[in-house]
Amino acid sequence: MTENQLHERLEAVPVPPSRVDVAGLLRAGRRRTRRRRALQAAGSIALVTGVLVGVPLLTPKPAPKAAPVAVVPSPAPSPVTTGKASCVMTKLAVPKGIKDVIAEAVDPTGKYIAGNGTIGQDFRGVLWTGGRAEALPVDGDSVQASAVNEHGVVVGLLTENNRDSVFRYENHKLTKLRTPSGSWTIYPEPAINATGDIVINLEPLGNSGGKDSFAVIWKDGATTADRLPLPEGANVHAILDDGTLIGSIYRDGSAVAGYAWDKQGKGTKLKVPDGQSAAAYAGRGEWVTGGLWPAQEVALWNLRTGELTRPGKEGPADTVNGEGWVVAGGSVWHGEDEVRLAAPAGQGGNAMAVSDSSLVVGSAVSLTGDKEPVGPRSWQC
Amino acid sequence: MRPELERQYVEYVQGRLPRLHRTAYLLCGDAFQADDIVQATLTSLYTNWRKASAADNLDGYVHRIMVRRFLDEKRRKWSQVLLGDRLPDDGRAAAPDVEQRDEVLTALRALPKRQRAVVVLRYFHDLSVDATAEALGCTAGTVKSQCSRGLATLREVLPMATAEGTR
Repeated sequence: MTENQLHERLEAVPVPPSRVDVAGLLRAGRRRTRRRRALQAAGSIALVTGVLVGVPLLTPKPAPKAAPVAVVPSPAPSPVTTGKASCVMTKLAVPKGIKDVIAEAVDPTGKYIAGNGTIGQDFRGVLWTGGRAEALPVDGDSVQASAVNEHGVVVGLLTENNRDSVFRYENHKLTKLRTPSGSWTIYPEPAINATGDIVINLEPLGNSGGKDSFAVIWKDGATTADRLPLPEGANVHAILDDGTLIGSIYRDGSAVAGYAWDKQGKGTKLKVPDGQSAAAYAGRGEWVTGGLWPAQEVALWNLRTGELTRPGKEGPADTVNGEGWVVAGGSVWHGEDEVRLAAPAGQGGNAMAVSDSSLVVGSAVSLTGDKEPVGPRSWQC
Repeated sequence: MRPELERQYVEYVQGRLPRLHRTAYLLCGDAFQADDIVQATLTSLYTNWRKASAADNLDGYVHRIMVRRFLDEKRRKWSQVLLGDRLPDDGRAAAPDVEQRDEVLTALRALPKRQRAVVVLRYFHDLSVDATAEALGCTAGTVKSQCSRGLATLREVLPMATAEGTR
């Protein structure tokens, strides 16, 4: 038997049909990415903690077991004063039984923080109210908090039998929100404003790259979604307190430009430099942030002036506060200055969001070994 | 993943899925395990797509993940747990009669796992000795010796090819 004959015989082996398809891979990949996004440390951590060399090693105390509501003051070193601002770290309590908890969102006032931990492959949402931690009720396989507003209303994704739906958590009650009839992939994560309006995008199940997708809104208190009157290819990622919708237009799966739309769907295209494409992912007040391609840079637009600022940082940015501070890749940027997040020696700070009150939330990560998250933290800057 | 990157991923995966599935099946000889390996490999690729797609040899990267999934029993079992609620259990993949009746598959399954991986990558995927060594994380010399032994074993257990060279 020659090598060619072996090749032909291997080609001729009858292979049973596969259950793996592209749609299933996308669902699994998106889900894994959401987990990893919460668990991964940012590449810039080493840069931030470089200034902490020489600080005595401090071992954080474990969170209290009996009363998972108290915030444990961090034994962090004095704030580091390098950079635009210096920020003192605080350890956030973790509800019993939940692992790998990370703070992922904060309301504009800094009073409410939302985050997630894991049990096995599933998320467990956590809400901190003035430092008091509570686990969100588990009404499905996975409950993942993605945003919280200044009234303490949390929104996120509820997964049951491998199907996602949007939930609202308010006054200790979790409510599943209905989508229009049909089978949808819901992505990426719901956003909420001060009024309680919730937005997200729906894509017909089995499609990819946003094909035939559209944005929906649950108006304050509603459990039934309305389709937003936006142009073809529009995806919404945030909603401002005045109802302005922040998002991007996609063509053939690629972002073309960021937009701000009013409730009637009238859009303002955000400035795009020559030779670049842009996408807008978040907004607050007069600020919108996102990224530029192929530059892969942070983009920061001002809705009042129309000006685009390029701080020259690796993007895209994930969130922005009312002062124009952006969070990108685990770091916080104020203009070109990095906001320094203090941490004990051997640890770094991984930022996920920042409030108007300059409260940064995220996690501390170990700088040794695999850079795993150590626990949820906030930093008051 | 951003939509533009996801579109690139879909294009890549759509073009390679059938071949990757066949490779996985030749490696493990089990329909369910083959699905697990492919799903775990391509889910991992999804989460690393931005970096992986910029690599010089994306196919080599995918082969490396796939072979290591196959060789790493713990990971494979982990992926099966993960897949428990991922793949529709539609029964299509069971087909035990198909698995049992193919003599080539039976002969492959008799080879040690690493030797089998070398044979499949070299003679089904037509990878070079160096590319196979990279996928398995071993030296070119090891690939050559494993290849030689594997081929010799297959020649002993498989009947001579017909005039058409396939059966």
